Order: sequence, then structure tokens, then C-alpha cells
Amino acid sequence: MPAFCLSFHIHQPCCLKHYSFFDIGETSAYEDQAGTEEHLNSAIEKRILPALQIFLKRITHYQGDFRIALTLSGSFLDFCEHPQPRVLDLLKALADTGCVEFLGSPYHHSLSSVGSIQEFKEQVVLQANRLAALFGQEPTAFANTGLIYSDALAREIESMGYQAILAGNAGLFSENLSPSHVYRPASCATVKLLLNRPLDPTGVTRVQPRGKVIGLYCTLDSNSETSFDDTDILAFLDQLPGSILSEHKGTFLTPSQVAREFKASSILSSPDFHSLHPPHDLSSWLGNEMQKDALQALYQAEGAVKIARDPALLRIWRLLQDADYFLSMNTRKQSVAAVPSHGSPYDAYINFMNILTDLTERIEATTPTPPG
Amino acid sequence: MQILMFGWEFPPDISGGLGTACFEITRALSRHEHHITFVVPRSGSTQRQTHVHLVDASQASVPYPQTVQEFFEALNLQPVDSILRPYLNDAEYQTILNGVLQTQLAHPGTPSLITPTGHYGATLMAEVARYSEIAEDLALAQEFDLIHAHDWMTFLAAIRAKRATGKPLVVHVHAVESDRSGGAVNRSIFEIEKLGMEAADHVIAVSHYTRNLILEQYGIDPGKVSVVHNAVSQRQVGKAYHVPRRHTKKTVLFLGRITAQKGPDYFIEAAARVLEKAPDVVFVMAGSGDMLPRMIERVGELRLGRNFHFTGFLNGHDVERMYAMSDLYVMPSVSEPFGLSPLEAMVYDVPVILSKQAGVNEILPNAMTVDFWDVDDIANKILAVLKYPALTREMLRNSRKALQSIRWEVAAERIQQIYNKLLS
Repeated sequence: MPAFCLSFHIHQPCCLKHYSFFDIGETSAYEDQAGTEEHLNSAIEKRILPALQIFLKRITHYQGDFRIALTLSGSFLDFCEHPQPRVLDLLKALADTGCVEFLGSPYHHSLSSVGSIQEFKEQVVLQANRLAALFGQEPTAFANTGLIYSDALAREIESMGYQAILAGNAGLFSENLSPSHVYRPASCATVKLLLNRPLDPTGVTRVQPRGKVIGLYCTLDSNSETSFDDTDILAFLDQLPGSILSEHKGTFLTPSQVAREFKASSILSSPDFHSLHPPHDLSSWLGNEMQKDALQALYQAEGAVKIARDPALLRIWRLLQDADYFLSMNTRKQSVAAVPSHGSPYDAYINFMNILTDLTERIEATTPTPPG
Repeated sequence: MQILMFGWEFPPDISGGLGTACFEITRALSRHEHHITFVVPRSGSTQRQTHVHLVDASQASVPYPQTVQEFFEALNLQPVDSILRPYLNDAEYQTILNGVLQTQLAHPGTPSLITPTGHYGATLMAEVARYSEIAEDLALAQEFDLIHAHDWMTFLAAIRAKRATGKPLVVHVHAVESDRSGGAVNRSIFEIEKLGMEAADHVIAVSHYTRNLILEQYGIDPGKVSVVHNAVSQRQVGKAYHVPRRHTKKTVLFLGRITAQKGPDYFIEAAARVLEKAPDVVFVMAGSGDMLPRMIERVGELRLGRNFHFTGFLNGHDVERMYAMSDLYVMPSVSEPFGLSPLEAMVYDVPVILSKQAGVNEILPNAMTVDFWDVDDIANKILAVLKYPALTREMLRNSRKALQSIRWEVAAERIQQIYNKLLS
């Protein structure tokens, strides 16, 4: 009778305006608020709100036997606060059941774990504080953007007090290791590693209920590549708890519960970055020259933006860290990005770099030139 | 198999993609043991290729020719004395005709490589008709299994050859009249194109873009229209990588006929926008055409002369040098059935910005494209390529990858399949 550990990820990126080279130095309006709200509202109505309602209904129905984990980006929570308080109310109701665990993550759905560990840690603290303030829970389990993971990251996350880390099961782990066990990251003392496969409505019947714990990870973003037709996935989510509890005789645990109840069966080492996205490395976000250049240019501005101490500039700089912008510069596979892009990956990169150039100039303008 | 091909100019006298395509397709086909009789208009005054020999068809069977010279020797080349050349319109035709007449008036005693005066058609249409008569006679004197004709000026000749011999006809459409004329369609040309495509047993379009025009504008049976994309020579690929740039200033290139179809006016307007932000960029417009005088005037009006250069018509080696000197190639075509020159630019490691209205995009999944009329976006992208080096790196990475599978052999293979189907 294995334990099932279900995690759902919700994030909506901010839409960026078309920002031409000629806008640099002329205007600093980067955010397309109308576009963002339109996409957000559509995602909320079609998928996010119905899914959360199903969770609440099933948790109430199974009186504590159904449990889930949620990983919500801070950007999503920010957007929800104003136009969609219904979502926040529902999330709070879910928190009150005691059957929902909120997972730690970088606040802005960022690639900071790759770009700057300092920034990564700041965003993780921001997110933890936000979750505590909203839901009264300090997160103790961690799900990085795209489940990006490495040994070095595991040590950082452990040092921040987390007890469990979620990672993808495919691609990284050798065949003689079961994906249905709990592991200890190499050179970590306490934190445990939970392996997840993408939750696939068409493939859940093929999940062999063997081993100790089966981690399933699902994104509820509007256009993400791991998501499915809205009505299908909602029907599937509705039936899933009953199917697992009665047919598979399984139980549900949240990631932190898994970490408490199971010992690590062995040590797993991942010196290189690994992620949930096929081919399970960083190449979805950082596979080409544009993506690498954009990331480098973005984090090069970190020192100056933090010295500038201008909250508006810092906010924009953090907004630009959204991994989805990097996804939209992916030339290997088009239209995987949840962010509505301005055409081709080239367009996405040019738009991003034009904005970043303007932002960088503004940051530099706030820095007083040293005398002499 | 023996093919009677009605084609166009061969290197080094190349005025555009049509000649290159004819040359490369013929070359790649000759590898498949095809005997090609190549009928080409050539006036005395342009006859410069001394290494070309007319050879008997029976001697034409040689292994795949490696050099241009070997290739010509393998080919049964049948020049027809005519002043037709690709992309002509009636006005240009008159200019050429007048030029020929004047040369002959000025040098009455010139011994004749130059043909006797007066027998060229008085108008483009008359010359096309005259050409088709001569070509028919010539065709009747040849042995062949199939006729293959490139673009409208050869269609009448090809139809006559088909009527006279009953052999199957393939017409190869590199452009249709609406591409060239930009809306002011010449009905006579349109009708000849339609006639040729209707008479053909099979129609080859250089892109899906062109195929759609053929179906929509000419109402041709979709079942007999196939797409065979053009390609780029792999010899060039090997030779051309990493040509060192000698210029310190960034150079942006337009290379093509300076006609409405190619959108040179949009290039100039975009250049003006770019120079507002980056005053050191150099723009080059290479080529000639009926819009050239107006374009020079416009550059003057905009006071861009210091940064804007016109080279006039370039051929062969100079084209290669021009690519090698450029940091970016822009093709803002209003209508581009295929667009060979961006592939050539890519061979020279030059990133390219392409009009969305270009058939070549169909084989370049990672092309950077623009709407030809969106001058601001063109300028934005030019500036981005010049300012963000990662963009050039990424574009070149993608174009090198794409070039690996864009080969004339593939096009010839597809054409051969069409031949086989018609003859089976």
C-alpha cells in the first residue's frame, strides 16, 4: 500500500509589452497589465479555481484521507490579491483543512538557483514569509522552479531549514534505484529527496503502485506543456482521490509527512543540474545562446539594483527573472511557454533584452558617480 | 532519360535566383545519368563563355561533373539567339533592344558574334513568341523523353515542343506575375503562365507559398502541383565559413534586384530609423533595377548618403565579397516565391532577417522574420542583431544546422521522382 504524494504547481507570468529598441530611454512601461489580467483570469476561471474547488470538496469528503501540496509562485499570489480575491479565499480555506501543505520556492518563479545563489536565498525567504503571512504555515518542503535540482542546491536548501526537496524522477536516476523511495542528497545530513513523475491523466492507470511512495507533480498553468484539456484534467482530478484510496488501497501524504515517515533508502548524487523538463537538464531555459546571454545580463545587474535600493527597480528586476521568459526564447520547441510571447524566440529575446537594457540604464542612473 | 530543358543564364552571368536554380538543378540532375539538352536565350552581345562547347548529345554521357567546366561539357547546350533574360518587363526589354541596335549602328562592321540587327521582336511579347518558334524547331531536331521549362518566358516554347512531339511537360514556377508586378498584373504574362501550367502534365512550385498562388490565382488542379524547394550549393558551404570581416563598422546588406517586389524602399526607411540610434552603421544596397534611381534620391532626401552605399549590379566574386563584408543581411521582399540569396548569405555566416512573405522560410524553421511594411520592427531587429552579439551567435548556429539538410541533390531527387511518375 504505497503512499501517494501529489503536488500541484500554480504560476502565471506577467505579460511584457512589445518593447522596441526605440523605447529604450523613452518609456519604462514594460508590463502589459491588461494582457496579464486577461490570461490570469482565463486560467483562473477555466482551470485554477475549478481545480481548487475540487480539492476542497474531496478533502472535505474524505475527511483527512486526501492530502495535497501546493506550490504557488509569489507573483501569482500578488496578482490574485487584487483582481481575484476569490482564489486567495479558497486557498485559505484549503489551508484551514490541515490537509494542504504549501511548499517553499523562489518567489518569482525564477531561475535564481542557477543565476545567483544570493538572490535565490532572498527569494526563498520572501516566499516563506509570504506563505506564513497568508496561510499561517512556514514551508518545510521545497519545490524549485521546474524542480531544478543539484547536490549543491540541496545543501543550500538544507541550510535554510527545509526537510524535503522535490525533484523529477526521469533522466537523472540510474535504473537500479527505485523512483518510489526516499533518498538523501549527497553530502546532506537531514534533508530528504522526493522523486516525482509528471501527473498524466492518460497514464495514471499505468502507475504501478509498488514501492513506498509515489510522487506526482502537476502544473496547473494555463498553457504549460504538461497540462491537458481543462475538462479532462478537472474530471481526472475529481476521480483521482477515490480511485487511489479505494482501488489502489493507497494513502495520501504531503512531502513533509513523507520526509518524516520514511527513512532515506540510499544516497543520491546529482552534481549537475537536473529538472522536470525533458531532456531533464537546464536546456529548456538555457539551451541556446540567447537564453544564456539573457540570464547572464540579468544577473549582472544584481549588484547595482541592490545598491540602488529603489523598490520599483528591484521589483521589475525580479519580475524579469521569471523562468517562462527564458522558455519563450527556446528555439528547440516552440510554444511551450506559458507567457504569451511576442512571436518567435528571437522576438522574445529582443524584447527581453531591450527591456533589460532600459532597466539597466535606469539602475545605473540612480547610482551616484563617485567624486573625482 | 533525355530531358529537353528550357532554362536561363548560367554562371557567371547570373542576374538572380532563377539562373542559379537552373544551373544547380541541371547539375544535380546530370548526376542521375540524365542527358539534358539545355535551351537558353543568349544574344550575341552577352556571349562571353568561351569555355562552353556545343557538344553532340551522344557524347554527353560522363560521370557527375565536378567543375563548372566539366558540367558544361556534359551538357548539350543549345543557345538561341535572343535578348530575353530573366525578370524582364516590357520597358526593360525596350531599353535592351535599343542598346543592341545602337551598338550595331555605332560599329557597323563588327564581325559577327553579334547577330544581324533588326530580327529581335519589337516588344517583349513579340520576342517571346519569336523565341518559341526557334525553340520549337530546335526541339524537333533533338531526341528527348520529357520537357522541363523554367518560368513564363519559356512556356510558349515548351508548349509548342509538347504539341509537336507529344512528350510530357513539366513547368517549373520560380515566380508568378503577381510576385513580380506587385499587383499591377500584366494580363498577357498571366495568360501565358496559365496556359503553360494548364498544358503541363506537372507543375513544380518553388514553395508552398507559390503553390498556393498557383492554385488560387490560376485555378490549376492541385493534384498536379508539387513543391520542390530550392537549395544552396554545398561547395560554397565548405569554402565560405569564417570569411574574416575586414570592416570595423557594422555593415547591413540588401542584395537583390531593386524592384518593388524586393522592397528596397522599406530597407531604406528602416536604415533611417537605425541611424537615429546607431550613427556608425553602414548600409549597402547591391543590385540594379527599375527602382534604383528613386532609391538613390530617397537616400539623398533622408541625408543618409554618408552611411548608405549603392554598388550597382554585382556578379560572382563581388557578390561573395559583399556577403563576406556584411554583418547582417535583410530581405524585406513584398513577395518572394522562394528567396535564394538569404541561403547564400547564411553560407557566408551572415545572419539574415527575412520577410514573412518568403517561401524560403518554409525550410528555415528558426528564421528571423519581419513584416516587410513594419519598418519600425525591421529597424528594431537590425539594432538588436548589431547590439546583442548573442543574437548573431544563435542565428548562425541555427542557420548552420538548417543548411546541412538544404541540398540541391534533394531537390533533384524530388524532380526525378516527378519525371519517373510521368514516364511510367
